[in-house]
Amino acid sequence: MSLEELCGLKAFLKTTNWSNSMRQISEHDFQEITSNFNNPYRLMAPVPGTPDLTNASLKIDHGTTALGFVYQGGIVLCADSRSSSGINVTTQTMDKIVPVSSQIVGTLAGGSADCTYWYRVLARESRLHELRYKRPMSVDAAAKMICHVSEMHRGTGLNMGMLLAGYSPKGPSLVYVDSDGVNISGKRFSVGSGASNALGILDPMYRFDLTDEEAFDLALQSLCQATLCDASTGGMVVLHHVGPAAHRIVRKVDCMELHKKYSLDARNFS
Amino acid sequence: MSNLGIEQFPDYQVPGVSHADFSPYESNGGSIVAIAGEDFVVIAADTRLSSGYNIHTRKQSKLFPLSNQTVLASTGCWCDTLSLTGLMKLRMQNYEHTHLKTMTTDAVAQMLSIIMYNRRFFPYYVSNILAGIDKDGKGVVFSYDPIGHCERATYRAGGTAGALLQPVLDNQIGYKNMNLHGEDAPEVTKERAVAVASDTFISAAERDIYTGDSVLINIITKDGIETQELQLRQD
Amino acid sequence: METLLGIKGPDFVMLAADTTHARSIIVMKEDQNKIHKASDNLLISTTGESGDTEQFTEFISKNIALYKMRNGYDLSPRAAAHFTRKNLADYLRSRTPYQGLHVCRWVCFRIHQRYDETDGAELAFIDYLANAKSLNHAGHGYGAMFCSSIYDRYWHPNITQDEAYDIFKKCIVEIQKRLVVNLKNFNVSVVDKNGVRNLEPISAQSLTDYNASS
Repeated sequence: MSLEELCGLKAFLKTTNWSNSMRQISEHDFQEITSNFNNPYRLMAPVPGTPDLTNASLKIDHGTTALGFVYQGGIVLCADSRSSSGINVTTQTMDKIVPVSSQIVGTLAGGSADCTYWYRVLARESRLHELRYKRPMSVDAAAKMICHVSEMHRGTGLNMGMLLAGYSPKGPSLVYVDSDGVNISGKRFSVGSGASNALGILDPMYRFDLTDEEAFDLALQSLCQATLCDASTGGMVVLHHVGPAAHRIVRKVDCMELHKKYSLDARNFS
Repeated sequence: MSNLGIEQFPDYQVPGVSHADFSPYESNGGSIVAIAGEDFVVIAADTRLSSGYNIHTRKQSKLFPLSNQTVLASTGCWCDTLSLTGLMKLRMQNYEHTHLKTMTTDAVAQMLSIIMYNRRFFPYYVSNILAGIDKDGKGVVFSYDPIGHCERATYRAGGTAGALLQPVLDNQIGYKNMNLHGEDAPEVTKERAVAVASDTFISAAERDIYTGDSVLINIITKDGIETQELQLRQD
Repeated sequence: METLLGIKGPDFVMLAADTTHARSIIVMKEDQNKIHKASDNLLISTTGESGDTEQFTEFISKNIALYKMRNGYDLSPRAAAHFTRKNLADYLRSRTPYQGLHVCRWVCFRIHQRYDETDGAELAFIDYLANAKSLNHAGHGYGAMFCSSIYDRYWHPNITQDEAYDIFKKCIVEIQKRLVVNLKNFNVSVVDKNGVRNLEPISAQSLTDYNASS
């Protein structure tokens, strides 16, 4: 006992008095039910004869519209912040544009938990890559990793749609990856339920030689239209700019203010 | 190749093999409200545990103190709640023994998210809200979806009456009706947080059959957890 | 929706694939190359569920490359077709853990073609049930429905590369005229004794003053 006291362990050995039921859990079971702490790719298997989850009215949070495009000044990413489960809005303030590393930024659409979990794993993976190889992970490599995750979980109901943006010495790259294992790079993408609405504005007005201000305005307008026309898109509109050196949040604005700015009246009188 | 661990089961009908229905979920009801202030957080849950139209018990606490700075409230399928909270306690104990310190609320929040995502393909059917004091001494609330999407908030309602109570909180705590900007909104006091939490439960007991009997309210400050109880309608 | 076309000549094989990448009702990309170079004289083109096609093509290409590394020579054209067919068939019929889950999704239609020094040209047609057949001309997807008659009418055993390219033009004119889906642009590649070459893509613009009846 004296050794424990010397180390100051006493407080910790005495404070805990857990229920008996959990005391019987074996080391093996414990490892099994927390398998993804040791290896994030090892999720617990679906049980054989997979239970019908539809009866349980399990509602999972879903994210919505995100868009991104490449122009002469870099890459613009823009997303809303509404997350809903079924008809209920769970939050209006979700961050849907997440920095993966100092070089890569990503947007998320689809199941919020799926996206945030796998972004966390991706962030870990890209940090390990930096430590191992002393150079940042490329956007293509990041996209490939997400692709492998999708491929590993084919048909299990994983639901993600991601845009990954970043700079490499070769220039800007923007990649779309999703839970079907699709992996395509391009200049202009929109993901989520409001994607078609956003594209309607983005496509005709997009040019590669947009100035910074024009590009930001175009992204905001497109997303503003998506918040108007799509019920599950709304809340704040967040605009990120990814440049050769760094990425930054350009604007974070309530979509109601954008509605005022881009409404029919405002356009007529200005 | 076997990292999902599924055995070789054919997905088509095999003569002579009967498939037993397997529906391992049940909603046992209950509601949670949590409100965070500058240096405190109030978390409340009712004590009714029911199944369909039967009430199992009128005094089951749904609040699980994980440390003296963190409380987890969990409703939904009660068996999932039990195994989830049991596992949380086990892991926190492990952490204490390994690192000789108690997990911070932020760390617990992330851990809960990862534990829940581990069961992505056979989820815990629970509605979780985690409340506590964060590393800067501020009150925080974390809310979760069934597969572990975690979001930090200042106030949140969950459980069967969650959709009923959230708008009340938006109005009374978030001042969403008053056209105020963040900094103009009056800061919520401990007394007001307790009062609003109590009021929301009185409303919920009127309109939700799974909420009633009594409310347990935990008030967490840097000095520890204080518990209050409020009687509700028992019908 | 997506369309692949292939023609075998006496000493070449030519392949055309549309460049549209669609997700549900949205066109995500208009310049996606679906003709992949698997080795110096092997082209693989796939259509089907996006994601799976990429994954599967990559798997086959990498294994063919691995074979060459191990043995010092390329897989013969027929062997490559058989390897592909066997893998597709195994995926389709296995219930092994996680591959089992996506078996039903391995809907890959494929045309597999190569030119070999000894065997000459080979055009392998493999469909989503892993039927494999060596053909003179083939097509996959809705667009191919309009093309069988054109192939029948214009293909002959001594066809030249120019004639084959012209048949593709005829097919694409018809596809753009009759198919409800808008397939604007087609990449064309050829493999012959000189290896793999990309030809001029055939698009709506390049066909404006093309006379299909000539």
